[in-house]
Amino acid sequence: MIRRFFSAAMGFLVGDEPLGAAVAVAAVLLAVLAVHLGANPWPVVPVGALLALGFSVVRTARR
Amino acid sequence: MSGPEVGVAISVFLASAVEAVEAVTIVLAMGLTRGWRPALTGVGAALLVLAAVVGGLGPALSALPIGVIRGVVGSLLLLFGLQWLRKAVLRYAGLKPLRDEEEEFRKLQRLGGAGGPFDRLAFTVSFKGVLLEGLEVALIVVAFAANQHHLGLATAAAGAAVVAVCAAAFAVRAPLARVPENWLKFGVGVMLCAFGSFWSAEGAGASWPGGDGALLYLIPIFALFSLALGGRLKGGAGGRLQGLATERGRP
Repeated sequence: MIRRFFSAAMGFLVGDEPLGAAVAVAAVLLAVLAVHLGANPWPVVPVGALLALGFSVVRTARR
Repeated sequence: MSGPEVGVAISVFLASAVEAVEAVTIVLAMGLTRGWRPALTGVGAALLVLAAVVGGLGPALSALPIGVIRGVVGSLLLLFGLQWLRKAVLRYAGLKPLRDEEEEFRKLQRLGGAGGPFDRLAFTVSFKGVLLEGLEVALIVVAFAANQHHLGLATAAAGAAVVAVCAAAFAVRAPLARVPENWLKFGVGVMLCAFGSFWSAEGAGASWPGGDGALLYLIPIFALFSLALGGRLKGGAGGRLQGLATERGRP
């Protein structure tokens, strides 16, 4: 039951393209890490999001 | 009303309208084919659950530090925005069929049949449809309200969108295929990606050049990139990819 709930929650959040979502989440985590290292990583998240979009669009189109 | 307030109102209105179109289509199909009583009871039950969930989570959200809220809701908005934008780009490129609300309606009608005194299917389908779409609207409202401190404005914009879609559905009593849903989703996807990037980077602790004005360059960047991506797929790459898909589909 927990597994089904987790699966439904993941489907709700990331849809049918989890790798693209993972790229976007990785960009946010990278920004958090960069801030802790003393940088101002404002371009990291939008660039990561654009990469995630391009990556997931091409991946879905190839299916 | 200031510029950022107009932006919040338009974003929440469009996002909520998209969700309302989907929910209303489901309820219309169930109401017309299996009876209005179970369909509307499902709607009422879903609204009660929604009120409990939003009421329960509201105070918990406001107790969190603003940076955490920005980071979490920004990431969620980014994930939703990426889903919507990806599908809109694929439809724009002709690699995915345009979502046809009329076909959805007919499909649900085929599922329906003669209902009993209280039709469980109509209740369950309406309940699930309204609860899921309503949760998305609530998340969008809470996200915008928490980050911009415009709870009243965001709630009013979402309410106006729901009322407008319900009024349109009542007036035509027909599928909502005439709403150009793909362009609506394209615009919402761009807005959600821009706001999501902005808030998740702020939540991480980054400072944007231009402060809140960063949205003025983030929105065109996402829009132009998506249009360019769709245009590229529509042309050469799209043809090649479609060819690949056709070859793979052959026995």
